[in-house]
Amino acid sequence: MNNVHGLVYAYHAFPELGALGFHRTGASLPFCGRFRLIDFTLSGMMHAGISDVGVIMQRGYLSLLEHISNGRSWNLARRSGGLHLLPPYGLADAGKGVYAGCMEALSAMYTYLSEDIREDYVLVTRGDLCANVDISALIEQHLSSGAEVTVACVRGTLPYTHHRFTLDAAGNAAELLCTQNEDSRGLASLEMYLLHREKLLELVRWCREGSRLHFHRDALTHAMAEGCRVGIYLHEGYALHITTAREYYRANMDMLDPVKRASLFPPERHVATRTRSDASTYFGDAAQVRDSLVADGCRIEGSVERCVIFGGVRIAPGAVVKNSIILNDSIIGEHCDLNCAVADKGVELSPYTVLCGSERLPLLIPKGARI
Amino acid sequence: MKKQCVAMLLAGGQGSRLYALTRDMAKPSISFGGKYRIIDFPLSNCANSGIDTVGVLTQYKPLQLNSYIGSGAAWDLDSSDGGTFILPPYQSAGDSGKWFKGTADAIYQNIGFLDLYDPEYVLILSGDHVYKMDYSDMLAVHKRNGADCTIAVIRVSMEEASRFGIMSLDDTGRICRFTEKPKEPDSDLASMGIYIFSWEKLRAYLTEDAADPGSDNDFGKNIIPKMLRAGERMYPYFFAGYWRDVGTIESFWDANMDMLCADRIDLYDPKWPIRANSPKTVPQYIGPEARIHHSVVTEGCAVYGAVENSVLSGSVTVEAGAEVQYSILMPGAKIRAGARVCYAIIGENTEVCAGAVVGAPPDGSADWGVATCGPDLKIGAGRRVPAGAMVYETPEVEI
Repeated sequence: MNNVHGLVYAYHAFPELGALGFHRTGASLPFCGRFRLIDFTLSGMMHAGISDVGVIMQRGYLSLLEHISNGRSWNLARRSGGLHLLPPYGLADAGKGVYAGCMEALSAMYTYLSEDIREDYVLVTRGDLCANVDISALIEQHLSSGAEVTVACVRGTLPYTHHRFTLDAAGNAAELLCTQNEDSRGLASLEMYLLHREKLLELVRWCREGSRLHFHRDALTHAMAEGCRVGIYLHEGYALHITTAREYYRANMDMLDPVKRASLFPPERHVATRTRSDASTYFGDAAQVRDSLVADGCRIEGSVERCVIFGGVRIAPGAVVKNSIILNDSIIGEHCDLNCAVADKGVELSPYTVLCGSERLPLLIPKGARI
Repeated sequence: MKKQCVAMLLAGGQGSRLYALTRDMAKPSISFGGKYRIIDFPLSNCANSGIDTVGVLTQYKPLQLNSYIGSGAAWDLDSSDGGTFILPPYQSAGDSGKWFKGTADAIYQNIGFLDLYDPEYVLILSGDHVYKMDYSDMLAVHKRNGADCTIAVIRVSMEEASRFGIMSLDDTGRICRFTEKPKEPDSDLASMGIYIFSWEKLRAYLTEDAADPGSDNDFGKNIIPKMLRAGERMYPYFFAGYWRDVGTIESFWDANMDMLCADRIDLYDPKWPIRANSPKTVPQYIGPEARIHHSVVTEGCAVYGAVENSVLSGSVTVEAGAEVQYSILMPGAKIRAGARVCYAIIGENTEVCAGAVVGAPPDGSADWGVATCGPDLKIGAGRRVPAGAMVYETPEVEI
């Protein structure tokens, strides 16, 4: 057994996801034809040998629950430990409103943190991170460096992430910046932290006393001011926090690039997911498919160019679909013309439908829509 | 734990006519139809029919099969009071172990397993057939007839009848005659090698047959004729759907090509899913210059070349400028730039190097056939594998 407990925030909902976020949290956003974002976090933990994982959820978690089920896909269906689903519980007011920050969520889970976790260390991370982080390397670095907290960071900027660290000569965090500026110094935080359970409990108690809500802005700033050593684990490779429809579109389209795809799906750390039972995809006599990712169980009889097609999709003869993302089991009727669209699950477009968005503003077709 | 019905899946046969493909793996574990391996069909049928206890009898080259089946979870056959059990031949006190002699002997040697579940009925299945069948309906018919044995039956043409166990029925619909591979068949009712027996009855016949030194210990040749002679109640279960025995290269190739036609067998029906234990890969990527027509392609593939009338299993690579026609590419096969594969079967992880040519279109000659390359081979640059050839070692010189 690994001495690290995984703790995943899967409650974040993002209004800027528009229709994509009506039925799901960021963590259960479908991605790259057959995955959901939380697969990266759960698979990363699996490869690092973490076999005890708590998933914090608050509302809108039906799609997430259906996806992670008993956790078997990530070796989390176990006699001992395994998957712990953590909906609001314990505190009388925990179910009210939306967790304003992750320290509030952790505070609501205090009994779980203090009594149910068997491991000495806790890896706290977001469930909607789109990155394949080598978590075992992060753990190794944390244990050998002697840092009290280790944070995963990337170079450059990361949309939505407001936290950056500047480094001292030894490579530890010198300063925590709460800014997102393009030209700002240091490294962008992936909001993945490894720390001792007692340290985490101490920070949760401190935040609870002062109604402080945020891990970075409140807890970590306070800890660093008191001399806590924060180590930086540098993640090389693709990383994105998907919080808007535009980033969602961009990230999926990025997967058409073999280099970016290989960075998120390296063979040595494959990404596990809940699998459907689909047959292979059938390409018809008149199918024309170019530069696209296609999952199993589809019937493609039209023209498809620069698209990400999820399982069970049907594209009828004469349909032309370009620069689009088509989610599970959608049906694109004959002679439809689609450009820069994101069709959510189970959409049905009747013949000759013409829909067009743009790369900056992709057209979202809500789940189950009949047009 | 008392069970109403336990399935016993015969998966130990060598499949010698598929030699290049079965040299290192049992026939049931051969890749089929893109996403599947042959054993997915009987296993999925069991799960869909509500049978939760399945014994898989293995003997010939079982390692890949064992690893593929695992706990049976991929087919939802890992129930807590049943599940999937690999049953290889084993040693007993005082003997040095015996191979399974015939199909009936394989069940006889596992009487101890069946007794653990004390079933009322035993379903005998074969691991090398492609079909969708509701065994629960067959069991209902068996019970309604008060039968001791029910044999699944399919009508075949009189020309091919001599390849099967052929039976005749009396006026009441009971089986009155059964001949294994008759030279001159008198009926077109062929056994599909799928039987339901009332276990108490079968147990007695297996025990008696095992003591008969002249017996081949085979269901078709020995057990069924013996039961008929003794006047047991034996009934047919008529099946009219898609069913293929994939024992030869031709029938294996044909059945794979059937996967391109949804009107032969519907694999997209959510009510009767055929499940597979698939490796974890990304979706298939179709390159900017690729052309794919009338073909099935599976996750993990990367297609940059031209593919027509073909079946591509998982993680196959077809490079730009390569051409694949009327062929079956098994998992991990790599077709390099400029190679041409036509009317061929390319084994798992086999690489067809640049400019090589495997197979040729039918030319009307009698010795034409599908070209077959076994697994883990390298068909060197510019090499030629002629139509009808069966290659199972990396060729050192021009073939």
